[in-house]
Amino acid sequence: MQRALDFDKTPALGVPLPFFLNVPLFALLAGLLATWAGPQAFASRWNGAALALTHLWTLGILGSAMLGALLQILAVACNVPVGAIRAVSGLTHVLLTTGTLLLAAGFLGWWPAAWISATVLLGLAFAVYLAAVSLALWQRRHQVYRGAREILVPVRGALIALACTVLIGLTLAWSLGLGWPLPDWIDTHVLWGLAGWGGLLLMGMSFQLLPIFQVTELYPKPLSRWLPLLIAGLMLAWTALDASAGMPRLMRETVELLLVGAYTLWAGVTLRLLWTRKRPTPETTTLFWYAGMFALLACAPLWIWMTHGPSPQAGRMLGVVLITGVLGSVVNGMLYKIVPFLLWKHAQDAVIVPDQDPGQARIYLKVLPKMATYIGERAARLQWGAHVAMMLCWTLAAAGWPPAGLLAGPLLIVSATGLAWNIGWALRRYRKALQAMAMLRDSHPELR
Amino acid sequence: MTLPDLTIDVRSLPAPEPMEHCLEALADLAPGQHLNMLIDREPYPLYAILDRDGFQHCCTFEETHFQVTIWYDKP
Repeated sequence: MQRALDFDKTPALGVPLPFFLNVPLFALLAGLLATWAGPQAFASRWNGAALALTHLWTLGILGSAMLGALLQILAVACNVPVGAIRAVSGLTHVLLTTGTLLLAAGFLGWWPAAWISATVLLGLAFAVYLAAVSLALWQRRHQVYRGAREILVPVRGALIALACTVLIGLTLAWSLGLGWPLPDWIDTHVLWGLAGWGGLLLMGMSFQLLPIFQVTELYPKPLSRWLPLLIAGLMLAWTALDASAGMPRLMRETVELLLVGAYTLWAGVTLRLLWTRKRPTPETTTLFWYAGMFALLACAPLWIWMTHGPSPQAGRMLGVVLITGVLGSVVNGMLYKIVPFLLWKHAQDAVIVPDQDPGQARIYLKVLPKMATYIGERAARLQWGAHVAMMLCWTLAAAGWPPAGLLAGPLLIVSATGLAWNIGWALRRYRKALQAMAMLRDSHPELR
Repeated sequence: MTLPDLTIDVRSLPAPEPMEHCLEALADLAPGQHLNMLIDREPYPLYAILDRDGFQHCCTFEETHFQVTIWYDKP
């Protein structure tokens, strides 16, 4: 089944790296904003700081990482390279970054011009990205690796969910900017963004990446085949019920219960696979997967509390756990696998001339730094600790505990600084490796 | 004098560690010497790197795992 990656199709380093660098930068910004706003930011979903924080997280941190990683995974794991990838990724990155900053500024200053500008920039960013990726998926539909067909189902679902989330979000921001009445689509926007785009993409990636990178057994075939389809169907049903006037609330809640059950099942199976994997000692990425899946399990009781014990903090906690705990953990952990690998692979590609005698490759291979040296395991684990502390603190802050509201921002700054430091360390290692290779080439005439 | 063949067992290692171990071993491979790699899955990504670097390779399935044999001839 799906156990093949083709690293030779790795896009140029400049394609995914700017997206990945956005992660610690937007996390720092969110940390600074949460520190400045304090417990007030967690008091309501609707205040400016809370909305700005939510979108710094979902667009700046999670969106950047997921869009960048998907370009990489589609090319490497599915044989679906996106055309004009440098232009597409460069344009998407610039538009997404500036659009997100403007949107957050709009929420903070309640500033209509910023909402309108953000709508245009983000609309263009997602239009370019979705058009390019959809075209690639269509053009390469017959060349997709056999083992990758199953992950393309959740990936396609995730992209459709992204398009729905963006369309609703743009309509909401545009309405705010023009002072029009706000359509009652916010819950739909949240559901399609978190359970559709975020959840389905994570699920698809887990089917492919956990067996390869965490040496787990494969997911049970019925689960990987049917669960994404079931989730997509449930989301469509929920949307139809939500839009229909006069339908009993119980029907919508039943669909929500099934959706929560589907994701809980995936979390349970993923935890079992991680627990029984062939390598007993967990790496930092494994720890992030554990954190993400335990956070997903915690969503079920939170949903029950939100639905049956009407309290505003249950909904806020559910949102925080999904964003910082589930999606935030897996995205953060993924960076510790993907960034060192990209730099290690590109260091080789930068110095080894293809089709020369193996002697030159052998000289370089002896001195090129090993992948594990790009980011130290201890430094990564420390950052994991800071991330988990941040995630718990944000959840307690959303529960309305004021001390946690004061600590949430500083803890995110600590976690983001740790991540930035670790990625920066990897980049310095890469630059030094290239310099060492250049010196080696100067001292070995046979390499020139 | 012919050097003995080398064998590395990279079964149960997460990607891309098998590739990394293989490339490390190749750095010490002498002309005509063979490197045998035992691995859980056929390493398609490695083939592209071996082709890039001028190594010869062949792969056989051994009931429970694959064996990839890699060598190069003196230029």
